[in-house]
Amino acid sequence: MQGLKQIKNRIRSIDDIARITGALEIVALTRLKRRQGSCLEARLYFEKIRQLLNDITENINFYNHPIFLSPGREEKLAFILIGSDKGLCGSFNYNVLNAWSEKRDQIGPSWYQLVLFGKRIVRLLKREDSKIIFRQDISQQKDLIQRVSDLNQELIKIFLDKKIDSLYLIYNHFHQHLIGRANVIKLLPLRLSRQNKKGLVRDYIYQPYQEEIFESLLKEYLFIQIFHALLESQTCEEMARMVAMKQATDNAKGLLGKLNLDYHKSRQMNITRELLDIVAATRG
Amino acid sequence: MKQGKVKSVIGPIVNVEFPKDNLPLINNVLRVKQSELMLEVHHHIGDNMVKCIALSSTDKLRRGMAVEDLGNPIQVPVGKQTLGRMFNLLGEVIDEGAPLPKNTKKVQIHKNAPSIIQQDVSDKIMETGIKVIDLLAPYPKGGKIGLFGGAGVGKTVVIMELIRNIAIEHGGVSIFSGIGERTREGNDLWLEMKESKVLDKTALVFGQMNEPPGARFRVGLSGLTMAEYFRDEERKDVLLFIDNIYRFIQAGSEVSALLGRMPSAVGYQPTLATDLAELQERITSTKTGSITAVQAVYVPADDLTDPGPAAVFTHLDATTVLSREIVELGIYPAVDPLDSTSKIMHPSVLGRRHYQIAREVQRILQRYKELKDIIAILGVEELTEEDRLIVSRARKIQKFLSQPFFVASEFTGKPGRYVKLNDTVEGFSQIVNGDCDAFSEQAFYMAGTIEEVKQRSKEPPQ
Repeated sequence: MQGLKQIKNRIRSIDDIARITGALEIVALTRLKRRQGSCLEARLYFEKIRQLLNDITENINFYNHPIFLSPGREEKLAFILIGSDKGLCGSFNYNVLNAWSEKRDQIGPSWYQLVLFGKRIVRLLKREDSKIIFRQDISQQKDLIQRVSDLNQELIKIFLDKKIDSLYLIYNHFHQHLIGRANVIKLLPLRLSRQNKKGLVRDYIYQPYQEEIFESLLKEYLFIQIFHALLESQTCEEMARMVAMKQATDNAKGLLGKLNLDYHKSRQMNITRELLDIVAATRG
Repeated sequence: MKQGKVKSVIGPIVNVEFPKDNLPLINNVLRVKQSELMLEVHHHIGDNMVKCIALSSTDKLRRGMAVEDLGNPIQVPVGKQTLGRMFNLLGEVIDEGAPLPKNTKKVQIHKNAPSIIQQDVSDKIMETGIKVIDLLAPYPKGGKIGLFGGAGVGKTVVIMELIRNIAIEHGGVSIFSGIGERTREGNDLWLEMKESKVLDKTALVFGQMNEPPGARFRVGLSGLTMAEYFRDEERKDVLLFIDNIYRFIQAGSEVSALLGRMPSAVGYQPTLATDLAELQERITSTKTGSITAVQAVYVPADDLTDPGPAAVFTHLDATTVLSREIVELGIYPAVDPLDSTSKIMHPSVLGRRHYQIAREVQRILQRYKELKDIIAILGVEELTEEDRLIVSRARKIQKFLSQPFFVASEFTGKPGRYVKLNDTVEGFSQIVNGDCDAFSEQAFYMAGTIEEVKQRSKEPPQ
């Protein structure tokens, strides 16, 4: 049995931790609500863009555009990994890392490059430093759109120049009350789901040229896919943090219960012992 | 011959009246004539009465029975004739063998401790073949070693393994003194020693839990006296095993209140420190020979601050603490790597490499202990990369500190392992340096040397 003072100290420090994690849980909850809104809006926009691109591609049969063409091999890859800036969010970053290393081992490329979002992910991949071509903090919202847009241009360019064979995007998708495996999406070469086979294709009037509209729509589509993933990931991060903090608070409470029991047990034991000594001494 | 009469019998305490001015000396042995009961004089309480402790059961004792003074304290046989034999505290043979030859030398069990100039202070490590002990709390040759542990954490198993590993390798004489433990264990030990052919270098002295407190209170001295003789007269290096020294304290406290003393803290005798010091101070190495003593110490309610074990602590050169937490992890021997210490834990004795690795192992385990709360609350994900590495190495070290024992092979189903000191240091240095980061934790469990771990990692798991 440890000394009373030691137990008391541990109780105090664990109590402090429980308070902090409890507060973080509430903060994460409010931020989650805020993020959820923008995330759902982005989802709608993304869906619309995808539909538009689908329709146009179907209409004018652009499937022979180089962006759709697979080189037929996967030797040189690029990965976009989206994580978090801060910790205390459970397995959030590790989900991405695990999905990434799994995918990488499955394909077995001879060469790859990394595009990283989030300080944590950058730190966790310190060993891969030479492969990182782009890094960006998530919480720095100021010129995030510009940066992502530039990145998008750059990625399309290196793909069209055949410097990479394909591009993967790995991030945590937001589901209500669920943090599971990270999403792995193949961005390039582009594949569109051709659902509307039954001829229910909307037709459009193009102004001024089909090609120009198509080109810019392509860029917008890829951009919004990355940006949307960022929003999803941020929402998911808050959610992961909330769940992790709740878990932590519960764990701390459990530990506190055990320690309190220990504390009272040894306190009682000391009292009994002293009483025994007093009684024995008065009898003697 | 002084004659007296039994005046009162209170459990193991007997008051005897003697004629005026004809009292027996303190510590002398008295014999009750009609039975074979022996008494040891403890107090002169006035009115021509002496207070005695019975050395065996006081059943069938009556007031008025005649008692005679034998004129000397308890004497036990010493020397070569005692080897291979088993005794009780009075030095009587209890292995049902032939009686000792008539010319066997006898020595009384009460003696002064060697003076400070006679004592020898050498610092040399004694290899035990048990990894955790050799690495973190190495035993000094000629030192006093304590093996602390609560009920059922494996003290006796460790002491048996030590007997097997040291006594068998060791050329000299060993004395085993069983105090207040299970009688079955004495039997097991005797058979075991007979089998491994070390019995003829060993003397066994028993006063187990079936004996009254008087016997348990004195049997430690009987064993010690035999060891002292080999040290002083035959100039030998002696191994002395005592299982369990706490029972000596306990026996003392059992008779203490009946002797009329007021109990001290936690009900121990007020003379706790003196009782213990009388025994412990005599267990020492002198210029003529050495006694390396390994004592098991029972820890009541797993509380090391209990006055009993705490009093023993101060006498020791090395302490090996067995802990329940580690038993719960399923790690045997359940030695607590952070609580166990040794006075020879110093680079000048162990060599720089051993010392540094032992300290590093302790640092890693200490850090792991600190991180445990964080892991329990926030999960392992929140640790930094360095801390994760420390945690994984600490867990491997923890597993690697376990070791299959020879004496426990029928329980574990694994043959025992004797690990040489160099192999131990080498193994832990590889874990600390990160050479073993790739191996699975399980490979380290119940392994001998690091080579065995590597071997296991190569083979596919069955």
